[in-house]
Amino acid sequence: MRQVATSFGRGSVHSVQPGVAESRQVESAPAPVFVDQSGLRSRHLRRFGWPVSVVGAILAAAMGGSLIGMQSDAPAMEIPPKPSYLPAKGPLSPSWP
Amino acid sequence: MSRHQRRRQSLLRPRRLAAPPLRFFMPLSLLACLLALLVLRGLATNEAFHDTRIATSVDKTTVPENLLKGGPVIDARGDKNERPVSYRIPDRTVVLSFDDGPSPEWTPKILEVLAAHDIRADFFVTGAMTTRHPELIRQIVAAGHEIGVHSFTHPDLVYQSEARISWELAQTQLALAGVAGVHSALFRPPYSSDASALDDWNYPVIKYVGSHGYLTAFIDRDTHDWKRPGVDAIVEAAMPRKPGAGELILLHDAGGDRTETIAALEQIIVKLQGEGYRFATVSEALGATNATVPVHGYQLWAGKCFIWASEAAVLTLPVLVALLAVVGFLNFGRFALMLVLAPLHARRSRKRGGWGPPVTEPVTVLVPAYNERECIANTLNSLIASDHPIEVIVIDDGSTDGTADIVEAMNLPFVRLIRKANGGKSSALNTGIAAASHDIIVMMDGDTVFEPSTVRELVQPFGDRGIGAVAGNAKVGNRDSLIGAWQHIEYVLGHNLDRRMYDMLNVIPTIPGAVGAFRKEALRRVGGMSDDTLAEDTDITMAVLCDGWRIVYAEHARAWTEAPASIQQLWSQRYRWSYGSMQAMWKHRRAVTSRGPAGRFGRIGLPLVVLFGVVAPLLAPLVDMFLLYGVLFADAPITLASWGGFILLQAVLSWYAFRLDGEKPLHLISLPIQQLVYRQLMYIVLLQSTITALTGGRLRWQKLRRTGEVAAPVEA
Repeated sequence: MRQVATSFGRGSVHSVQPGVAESRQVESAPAPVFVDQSGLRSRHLRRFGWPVSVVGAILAAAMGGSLIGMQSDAPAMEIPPKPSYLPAKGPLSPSWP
Repeated sequence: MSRHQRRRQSLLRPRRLAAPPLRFFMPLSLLACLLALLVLRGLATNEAFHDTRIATSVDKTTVPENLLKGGPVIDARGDKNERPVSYRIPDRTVVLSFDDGPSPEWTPKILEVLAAHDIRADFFVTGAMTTRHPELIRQIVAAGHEIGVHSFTHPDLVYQSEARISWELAQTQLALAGVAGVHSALFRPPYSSDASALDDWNYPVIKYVGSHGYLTAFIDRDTHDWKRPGVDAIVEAAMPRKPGAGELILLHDAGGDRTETIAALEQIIVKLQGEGYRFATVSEALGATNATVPVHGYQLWAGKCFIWASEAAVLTLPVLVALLAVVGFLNFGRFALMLVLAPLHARRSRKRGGWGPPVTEPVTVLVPAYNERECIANTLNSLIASDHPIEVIVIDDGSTDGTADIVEAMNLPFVRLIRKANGGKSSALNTGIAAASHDIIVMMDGDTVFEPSTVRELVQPFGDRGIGAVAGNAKVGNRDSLIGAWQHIEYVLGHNLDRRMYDMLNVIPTIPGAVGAFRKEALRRVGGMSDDTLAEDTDITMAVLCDGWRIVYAEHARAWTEAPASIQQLWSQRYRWSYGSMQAMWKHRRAVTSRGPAGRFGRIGLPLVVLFGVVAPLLAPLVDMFLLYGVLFADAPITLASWGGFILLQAVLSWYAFRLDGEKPLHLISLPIQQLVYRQLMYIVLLQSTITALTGGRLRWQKLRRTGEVAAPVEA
C-alpha cells in the first residue's frame, strides 16, 4: 500500500491492514471525517436540542390550540323589558342623561 | 451507482444506527411550529379559510312576521331562542355603526370626527383586522365606543357549518380579549342588511348565534358608502325615512378609500344634531348594559398569547418567504443550467469524432466483491462478452457467503481472484490497484452488469492525455416496481442532466462506483482510495479533479445495477451516500481557497454541489409546508395549480433527459407520486445524515440484500 499524501494536507491515506479490528484501527489513524470520538459534540447538541424541541412542541400545541376556538359564547348583556314596537312619534325619554 | 458496503457489523457492539428520538422529534416539532405560524399569519391577513361566496336571498317562509317588520336589533338569546324578539332604536336617537374595520388608515380619522362631536358609536370589527391592528381596537375601546363581532374571516355565514360559525365567533372573541381585554355581546353577520332582508337561509344563523348569547344588530339605513356614491348620496341615504324616527346607520371604516365616508360622517352628524337627534351606542339606545365586557383570567391570557403568536407569525413570514425564494432560485437555477448545458453537452458528444487516438490497449477491470453470491456470476459473465481486451481482478473482501468459491469455480482465464480479509471497499480497491497490470483501471461493483461495449466506450476518452478519469452511465435494471421506477427517473435525470451540466463546467463531483475508469497515474498521485469517508468514489473523484485532471462523462458506457428494492434498503443506501458525500465535501473544503485546478473546483464545483445537493434539499421541507398550508388552509386550487406547473416543468425536463438517454418515457407516469413520497424520503435521509454529521456519530452499514435480478443488459 502506498503512503502518498493527497492533495490536501488532512487526508493522508491510512491503509487498512487485513485482520485489524476496527477499534484498534481507529486508535492508530485519524478518525474519519465528521466523527467525534469523545461524543462531546453529540452531548452538547443533545443538551441544546431537547429544550428547543420541547419548547417547539409546546409552542406548536399552544398555537394549534388557540386555533380551535373553544369559547364562542357571548358575555351577558341585560336588556330591560320593553315592547318591541315603540310609538313612531313622541317625546324623548326623560331618562336619557 | 450502487456502492460497496463498509465493514461487516460487529456482533458485539450494539447498532448505533438506532436513531435517538431527538433527531426526529426536533425537526417535527419545529415543522409543526412553522405550520402553526403559517396558519396564524394566514388568519391575520384573512388568507386562510377565506370564502368569498355570497348567497342571494330566498324565501322567507320560516321567518316570523314580527321580525321582518320589526326593528334592527334581534334578540334570540336564551329562552327567546324559540320566539326571537326585535327592538327598534327609540325616536330621535341615532346609532352610527362602522363595519369591517379597524383599518389603520381610516379608523383613526373616524375616531377623530366622533371625538370632535363627543359621540360614541358601534364598531363591528372582524377578527382578522383585530389581530392585525390591536392598537386601533384599544383606541376604540378607550374612547368609549362599543365593539361588535363581525365574524373573523368575513364569510357569508349562510354557507358555513354551525361549527364554523361557532369558530368564527370564538376566534374573534379571542382576538378581542387579546388586544383589548374585552368580549362583545353584539353580533352583525357579514353581508347583512336590514331586518326585512331576513330569509330562510340566514334566519337559522341568527338563531344559532342567539343560542350562543349574541344580540344581532342589523341596520335601518344602508348608506352604501363602500360603493363610493359621492358624499351627498351617503348623507342622503343616512337620513331617516320619517323625521324623528330612531335609526341605526351603516357605514364602513375599512375596505378601500373611505374619504367620502369621513366627509359624509361630518355632515350626517351636523344635520341630525340640528334635527334634535341624540347619538348613542346600541346598548345605550336599548337602555341595556354595555355590550363590550372586560374579561379576566384564562380568557384574557389565551387571547394575549394568540395575539403575540399572530404578531410573531406576521413577522416570521418574510423570513420563510425568503427561504422559499432561495429554494425556488436554486431549483429553477439548476433547471436553467441543465437546460442550457445539457444540450451543449449532447451536441458536443455527437459531433466529436474521438478523444484522440482510439484507445485499444488492454485495461484492468477491478471487481471488489463482498458477499455477492447472487450477482457475481452475472457480473463476470457480462465481462466475457466485452469487446475490449480486459484483465479482470476480483477482490474478495472477506466474503462469508462463498463468493470467492463461485468465482474460482467459474475458472475464467482472464479473471484473477485475490482473497483478502475484510477491510472495506477502499482497501479492496487499493489491493486491486496494486495488482493491476495495465495503466487504465476500470472499477465496477460486484452487483453490476456491463454491456459488451461498456468498457470500450468508457476508456475511449483516455485518448486525451489530460483526462484522468471517466464517469460511466449507471442504469437501474429493476425498474418495474414503483420504487425502482423512481430511482430510474432519478438516475436518468442525475446522469443525463446533472452530470452533463457538471461535465460542461468540468467539475463532475462523483464517478459512480458502479462504472468508472481512472488512469493509474492519477490514482497514484492522489494516493489511491481513501477510507476517510463513506463515499470513497466521491472522495477520489474530487481528489483527482483537485490534482488538475479532467473528468468526463461517457454516456454510452452503460452499466446495469440493481437498485434497492425496499424503502429500508434505499434509506440505508442513501443515508450512506449523502453522509459520505458531505464527508467528501468537507474533506476537500480547503479547495475553496486553493490555487490552480483545486481552487477552480473549490470555487465552482463545490459551491454547486453544496447548494444543489445539500442546501436545496435541506430547505425543501419548507416547500411542502407551504404546499400543505395552501391546500388545507388557503387557496387549494391555486396552490395545486402552481404545484402542478412545477411537476409539469420537471416532467418536461425528465422527458428530455429520457430522450437524451434513449429511454422510453413510460416510467415518467410515476413522477407525480415520486414528488409526494420519494422527494420527501430523500430530504429526510439528508437531514438525518446531516444531524449525524453534526453530532459526530459513527455509522455502520448493513449490506443490501441482493436478489440477482439484474442478469443481463436490459433492452432499453
